[in-house]
Amino acid sequence: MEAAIVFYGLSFFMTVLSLGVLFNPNPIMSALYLVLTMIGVSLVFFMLDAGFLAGVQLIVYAGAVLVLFVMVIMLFDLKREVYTFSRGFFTRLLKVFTGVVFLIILVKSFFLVPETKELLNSSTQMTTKNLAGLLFTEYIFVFELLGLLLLAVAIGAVALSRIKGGTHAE
Amino acid sequence: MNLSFDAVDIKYILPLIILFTVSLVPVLVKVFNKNKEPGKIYNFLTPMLGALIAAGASAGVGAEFLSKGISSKLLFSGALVMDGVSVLAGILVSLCLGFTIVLAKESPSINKNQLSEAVFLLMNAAVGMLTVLWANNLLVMFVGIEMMSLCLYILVAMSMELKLSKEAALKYFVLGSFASAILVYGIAFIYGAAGTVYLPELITQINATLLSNGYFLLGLSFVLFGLAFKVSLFPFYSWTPDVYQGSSTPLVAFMATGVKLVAFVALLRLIATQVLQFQEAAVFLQVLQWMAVVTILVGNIAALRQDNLKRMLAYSSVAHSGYVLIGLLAVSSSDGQVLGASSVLFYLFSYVIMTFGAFSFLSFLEKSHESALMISDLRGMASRRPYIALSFSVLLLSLAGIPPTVGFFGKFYLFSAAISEGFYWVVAWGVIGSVISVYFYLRPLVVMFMSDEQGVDVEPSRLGTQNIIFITAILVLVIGFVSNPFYLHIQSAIKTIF
Repeated sequence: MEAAIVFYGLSFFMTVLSLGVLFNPNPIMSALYLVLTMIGVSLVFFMLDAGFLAGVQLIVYAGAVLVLFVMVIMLFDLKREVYTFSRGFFTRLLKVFTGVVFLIILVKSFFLVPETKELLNSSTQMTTKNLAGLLFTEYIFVFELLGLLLLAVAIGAVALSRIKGGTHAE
Repeated sequence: MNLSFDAVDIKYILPLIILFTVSLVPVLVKVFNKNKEPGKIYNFLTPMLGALIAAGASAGVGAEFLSKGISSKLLFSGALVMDGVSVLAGILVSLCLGFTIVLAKESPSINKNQLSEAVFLLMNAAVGMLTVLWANNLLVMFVGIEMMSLCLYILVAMSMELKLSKEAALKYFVLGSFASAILVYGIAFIYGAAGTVYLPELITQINATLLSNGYFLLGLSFVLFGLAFKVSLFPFYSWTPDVYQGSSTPLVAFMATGVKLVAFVALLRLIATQVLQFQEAAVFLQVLQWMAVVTILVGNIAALRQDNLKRMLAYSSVAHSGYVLIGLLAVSSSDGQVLGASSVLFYLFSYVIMTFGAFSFLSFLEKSHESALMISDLRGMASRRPYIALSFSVLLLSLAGIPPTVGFFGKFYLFSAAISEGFYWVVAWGVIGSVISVYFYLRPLVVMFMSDEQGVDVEPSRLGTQNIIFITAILVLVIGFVSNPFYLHIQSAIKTIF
């Protein structure tokens, strides 16, 4: 019962905060609302006994990714971007149209699978230790490959920042 | 804690390790050389050698399998599988990489101040491709696809050309990430419904009850559509011409061949779980049939109207995806599996060879990074460069599917596999599509041989590119003439995945 109250309270606040992300005209404020939403998500993970995921959510998303967002926001000439993306009758119509389509898909998909089912293997407790064990035994190949992926992308990002014409070529 | 894999497993993934290690060489040399671009030895010869050794290592794995008489081997507690398909396609991907490095060295549209980074990214894209080929688990497949795609997004943006390439890179990145997101969402649904993403386990799990589960069907359709984006099947093809036009030509040669090959092998592995055999999945089969037909028609009819050679070849590669899908339909039915799968693989191999040759021809002719080759630029090609013109004609005839070439036999095996499974009307549309395609494949031929005017001047110094055109043209003819042994070899390789 308490868990349900906490969950619905959290969900309510998260919905409000994510609406704040969408409707706030100042992008920095949007980013700050996003931090609060991320913290809410990590609390939900914590309630689901996924302590590791909660921690990762806090460290990676609320910490690193958001700092990156704010930095990128500062780098761009936002007034011009806002102007380019939010004028014109057709653009507005397109936005409303896509929104309606996605809403229909969402509602439809709820009716597509009406019954709720127990998760498979829900009895096994996924602790951080178990997770680490799995990562370094069963999933060692993917884990190492993700390391390679990050390296490739890091070098690629540096290369991209030095391309001919820069990132904002005319 | 005991590790659940043998150190021996590392021996089998040597091609991947070699490619990655060698890819570091040019970048590291550049770093230690005060950020000055390294010379030919590090930027060209070492990566070339690495690609060749990787191909050799793949071949070595195949040779070991043959000599020991084993057909397939699971690695890293089932994350990867080494079988005939992985070995053959792995060799081809490594060779494609080597050829692409040659093209990149000689092409004007690759920035020579960033050649080492480009080579690094190309080799890591190949690492991702090998992973997709070997993947025995949907998650590994996804990570491989991401590794490949992320490297390619960056490579598209790194072209010398300024306007189109940036547009292409952004388009490819946004649409590609959307497709990847749908793919991983689908994998999550499949895991939720079936409790596993491990393909051999999935085979044992699939039954009528699972297929009446809405979550599973949703997941399956998401995974199919995510992969359909990568191979540019009908509703998800529209990025292809724009991205190919904006990217530098050597990169297009790599994307049009490598990415399609590995994504189709991934689709093949998914469909080889026999998920589409059941009555409950009949609707998927219907949708896939229509996708194949419309892809063929759209690709071929749109290619008719293109004057830009690169866009024409891009649309033709869309159409070829449609042909391969016809073969995959045959795989999905219960008794045509081996036949269908080997025809798909044979067609993919022939497609890779001829498409790579055709794009190398474009790369050979491009004068600067901004040149957009039109069909009319080929005027009088036959009198100035007879051998090149002849080789390109062979490649085009093969793409069109004219008899003595490998393209004809590829289509023949595909269509006969589909007919033996009763997909008559799809094959009929496939034949109609091929007939339409003959028109636009013959147009450059007519311009090259029957017009005396002067077109674009030829760059004489691109020896490597020239040799690649010759090699692919000769391969197209040779494999065409002796297609049956090749086909039988592929068939024996394919038996291991069923």
